[in-house]
Amino acid sequence: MAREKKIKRCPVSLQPDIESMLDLNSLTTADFEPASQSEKEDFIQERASVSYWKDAWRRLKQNTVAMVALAVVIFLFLFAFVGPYLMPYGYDEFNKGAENLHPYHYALEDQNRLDAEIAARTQTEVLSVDEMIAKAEEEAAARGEKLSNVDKAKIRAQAKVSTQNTDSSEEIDPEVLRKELGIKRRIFGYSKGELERKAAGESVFPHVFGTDMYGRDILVRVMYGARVSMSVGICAALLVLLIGAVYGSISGYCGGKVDAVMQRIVELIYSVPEMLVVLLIATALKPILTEYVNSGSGPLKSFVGILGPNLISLFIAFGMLYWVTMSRIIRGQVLQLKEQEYVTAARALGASGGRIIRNHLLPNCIGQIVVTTCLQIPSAIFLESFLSYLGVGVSAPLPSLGSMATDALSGMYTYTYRLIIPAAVLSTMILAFNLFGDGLRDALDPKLKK
Amino acid sequence: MGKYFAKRLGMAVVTIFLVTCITFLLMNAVPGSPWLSEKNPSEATLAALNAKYGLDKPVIVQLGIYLKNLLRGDFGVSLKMQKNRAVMNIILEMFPVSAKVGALALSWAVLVGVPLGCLAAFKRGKLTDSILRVVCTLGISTPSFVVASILLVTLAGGIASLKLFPTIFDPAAGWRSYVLPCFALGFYPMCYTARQTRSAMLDSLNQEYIKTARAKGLKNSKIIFKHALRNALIPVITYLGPQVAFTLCGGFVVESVFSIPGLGRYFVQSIQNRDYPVIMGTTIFLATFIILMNAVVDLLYKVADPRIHLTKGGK
Repeated sequence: MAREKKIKRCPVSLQPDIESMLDLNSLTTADFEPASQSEKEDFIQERASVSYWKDAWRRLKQNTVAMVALAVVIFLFLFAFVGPYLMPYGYDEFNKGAENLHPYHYALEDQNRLDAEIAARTQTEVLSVDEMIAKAEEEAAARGEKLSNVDKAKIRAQAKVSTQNTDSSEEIDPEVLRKELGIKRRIFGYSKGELERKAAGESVFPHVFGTDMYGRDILVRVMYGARVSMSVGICAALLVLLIGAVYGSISGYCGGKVDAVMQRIVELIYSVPEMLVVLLIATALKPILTEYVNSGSGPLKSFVGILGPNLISLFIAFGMLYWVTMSRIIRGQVLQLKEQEYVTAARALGASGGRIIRNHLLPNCIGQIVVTTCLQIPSAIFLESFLSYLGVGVSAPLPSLGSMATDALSGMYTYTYRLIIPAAVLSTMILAFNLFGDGLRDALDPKLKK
Repeated sequence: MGKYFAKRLGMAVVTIFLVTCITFLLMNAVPGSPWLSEKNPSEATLAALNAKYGLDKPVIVQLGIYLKNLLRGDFGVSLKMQKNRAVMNIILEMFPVSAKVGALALSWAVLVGVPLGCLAAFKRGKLTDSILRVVCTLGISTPSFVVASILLVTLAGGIASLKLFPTIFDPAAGWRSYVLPCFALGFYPMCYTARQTRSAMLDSLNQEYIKTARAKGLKNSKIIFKHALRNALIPVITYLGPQVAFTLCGGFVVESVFSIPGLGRYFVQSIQNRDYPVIMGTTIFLATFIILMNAVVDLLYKVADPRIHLTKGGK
């Protein structure tokens, strides 16, 4: 029987001969014995189940770029929030005698050598006017005459002309001279007074990034600026998350007419010129909040007072316009998820809409929420720096990276470091957040990986 | 189609109306008045000034009057910055300056960004791709004022031997003064466009019809530019629509840095000066422009992808 069933195979065919594999006769009855208990247990894998977050973390750890970005974010966080406590200078502290320091200095003995050299070179200069007159008077007295006022005026005029000449022709460029003397720059800024104190054995903290025109330490100001940027970024992102999650999930869950109306509102906000409105909201809210803080005390008021009306008005302005993207993403997710069986089951059990959203829908789109929130942070920082740059953000004396860059524009060519340092910190911060957000997206939602 | 446009128009009118109201109320919530810099204003002068420009009435009444004038196309007159000059005239004078810089900036952004994105997608995983990704991520992480400042420090006098371009914008000086502002303004959109194009291209390069095209033996250039790019353009167009409006109306920051006498810089100054009609005029102008550009974007979708139907409710 079996022989008849066998299909005839062409001998030159390249098809594999499966007949031998399908040969059931080679199976013994032992192969059909039920598995013993120990064999069954072998199939159960002895491994703890991997939770969503653990799995994501494992994927994130493999992404070198994201991990480096995370390290940079953590470093910047410490830099901004812990750094200022380690520094002996305040962000609005004027260090007398340490104005306009570059982030480098020259050793004290080198400076003295330079001064001596300059003094030596300028000594050949003509005598001062009074000395010349005195000399002329002496000469006149020796001849037995008296110097007339006309003669004195002549001498003065000559002296003036000659000093002008020396000014223009013999001016010594300290840079050139330093090169000639072989004086080298040393890192960190110290004023002369500080160097003297240091030489006397006192320990003086250097101005690592130099100081600005009022003698304020730039490193400390950058730390505070980074703090402002980070606070605005994180708070704004949380606000966006809150409004977006509530709005998006309600819109998606309710559907129908509610959804239609809510989506029209979203479209409306999309077509508002956001930069303009943010500018306006930020300027309008600032005085209102300041008044609110000054009007009395209370837990909320002191909270607003601690953060500062500036910062709060900034991230409210941001939160009020930028939640639309978040709400769209969450709405899209909820629209998909609400058709799932577990939602129907929850509804059948009599769960209220709010409960379903809170306990079933939102936890299921947590990946998207986390990623979108994380990517909101850099864009909030971006906006804050723009506003501060235009002078409507954080107000003086509190520094912001953007306003520090504006302040630096006036002395751009001489004090380039004042522009470059805050700009570099700002870009690094945004870059780190962006890269980390990208990595997080790949880790939390492998489907989206490009 | 007619119904669709009627709906769009209705939405646009409502949007502009709401933007007008919100801006008006917000603007009046900002303390201070346009007369702060008048020389020793007496109470009587201030009252007379307020009465002359209708600022003595309640805000709601002012808003009503403003809306009524707006319907007649009257944007009011500047209170302070160019006293008594019609706002519309000011906008029409400033806009072309901004628009020229903006258009140049966006053109280079698109003309460089889209091909770079295609290149990166095509060379996926190779060195070219990695370099482009680094540059573009850096680009979208650098605020335009940083780009502008770096350009100023390097190419406009910071390095003495490299003073190629002027620091201050002057249209009379010719193309040189356009280079730096356009570069600074277009750098972010360029990087963003390149990133978007890359990811959209990767998407469409994986599609079946690309395999078919390859199987037919089409040239790579034809596959990329004719088949893949066309489908990849949708997200790019979406981004570019509003961006065109913003860039043409002036990068606020870049205009401030280079002292370009454009609309963006003027708007920021008008807020600082509390020149109410100018604030209102600029905001409405920009809002209208954005709405217009969004409509153009929707039409362009159809050009890029004829399968899209505008009238069927898209999600």
